[in-house]
Amino acid sequence: MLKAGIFSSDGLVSVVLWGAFALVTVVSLWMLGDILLLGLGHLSLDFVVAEPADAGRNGGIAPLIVSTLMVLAVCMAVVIPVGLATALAITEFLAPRSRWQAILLRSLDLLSAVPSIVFGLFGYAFFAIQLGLGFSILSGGLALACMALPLFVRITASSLAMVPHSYRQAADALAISRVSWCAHILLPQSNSGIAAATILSIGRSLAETAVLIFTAGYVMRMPDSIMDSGRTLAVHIYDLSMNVSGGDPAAGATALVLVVILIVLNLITRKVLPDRTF
Amino acid sequence: MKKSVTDGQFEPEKRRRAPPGLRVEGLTVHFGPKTAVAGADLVVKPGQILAMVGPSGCGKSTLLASINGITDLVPGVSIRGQRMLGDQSVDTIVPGLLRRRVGMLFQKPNPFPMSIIENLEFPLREHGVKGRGQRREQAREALEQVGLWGEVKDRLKDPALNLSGGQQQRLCLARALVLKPDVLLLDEPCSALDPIASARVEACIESLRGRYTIVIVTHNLAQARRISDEMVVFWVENDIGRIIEAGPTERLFTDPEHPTTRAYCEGLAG
Repeated sequence: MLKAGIFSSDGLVSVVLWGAFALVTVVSLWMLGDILLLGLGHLSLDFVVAEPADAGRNGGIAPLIVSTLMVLAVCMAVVIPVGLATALAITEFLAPRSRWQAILLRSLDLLSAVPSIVFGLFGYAFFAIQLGLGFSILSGGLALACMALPLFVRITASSLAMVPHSYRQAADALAISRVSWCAHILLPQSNSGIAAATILSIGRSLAETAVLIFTAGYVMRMPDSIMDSGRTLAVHIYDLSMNVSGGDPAAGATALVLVVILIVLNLITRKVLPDRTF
Repeated sequence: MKKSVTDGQFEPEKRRRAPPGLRVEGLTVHFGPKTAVAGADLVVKPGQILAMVGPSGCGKSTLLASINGITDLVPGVSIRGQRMLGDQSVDTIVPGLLRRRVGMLFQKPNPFPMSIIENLEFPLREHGVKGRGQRREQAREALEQVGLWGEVKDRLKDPALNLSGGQQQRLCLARALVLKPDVLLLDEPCSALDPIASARVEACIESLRGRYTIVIVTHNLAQARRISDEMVVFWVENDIGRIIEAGPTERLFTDPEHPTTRAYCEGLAG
């Protein structure tokens, strides 16, 4: 006789799945609630537009928002074109299962597994010292790009590989050039995957501290250019929590601003790269 | 040549010249160590319809796709033998021109994820047809040829994937015709369609008789008998696809020379 209810195999699977769902939801809400409790009282319009004061305990975070967006812009200006080109090379231009494709994929996997502190040290040695870019937003953005690139390439390449073979068959039969195939069919069909790769790369970059402490620096003033040093929001949160006594409310409020920026960038990405798959 | 069975629903096309014939001699195709088809010979006279029949995996589609060089794109493939389009070797024609002259339709409808009109204008743009007016005119002609113009003329900007399966397949046929090819290669074009949609596509093919040289792969022997002038029968021998008999379709059904052809046509083998 078949077992019924939650003691059947289907019932147990359902319980496990619902449990996992509940765990993820509860943890996310808990974190958000914690940040809200900590920072909501400190958050105001002044906090967003003012300069920081008293090591960040008072004042606002305007220069840090600008630094964060500048670092992110440098990072994504490198990640998106280089990442797309690499993903296209893997899926379109290198022979499937060829030696070069295998080398590229293994290299990406290896880079994905490298701890971010190593990217920080590399960025410091190469961009800041070797190339003479110093502690700057440019150094920080480039080092961050090295870290985010493997993730972006892997997700984008997977999404390019999922475009139905029948489209390629039709394009081959009509002698559609490779450039047109990529521009008119392959990339538009992979929009949602590229958007996911972009969003995850943005999220990872916004949250990063180790890379930036070594490359973009700590300075809290408003940056004049990408050659200036700048402190990002994540570094500011880390600093307030770890090094500044009485800095927790400001850290909570900064975290709330960071979450809002992440949501806004997420929405913009989805708008720019709408899901075109039918 | 057989009489067309169309009911007048397809506009006659103003053809500029007679299509060339096709000739394949001693064609052997290997995919790595595996031989897909060996020593295949076939001749298609200008404007005729040739049907390729035989069980699955006997090299029909491989041979078909080698005529327009699609098989040549498969990694690890090696092709030997002659492929002639008219009096020109396929190997000497640049791929872009070859595939413009030899259109192809696949088993499963595969319109691009674009609008109906873009499916036709995109290949035209790609092949250098610059004027929008000219592209529209050629697109309209192609849609009329497959009897689709009346059904879609008011919704040309709708996604092509919103069309029914049969309409999608006729759109794909229009997409092949829009480049004004001489030869059409049809790889089981009706096998993924319901009987009514299949009949409409078959009627379309019939309406093109004489204006294009057509090679069709089909598992539907009744369809092969209805529409083809000539037929070749493929079979697998020692795991290699070969042509076992070729000739006028009616003769192959009524008086085949090869016992396997007789058994296959009578539904006793394959």
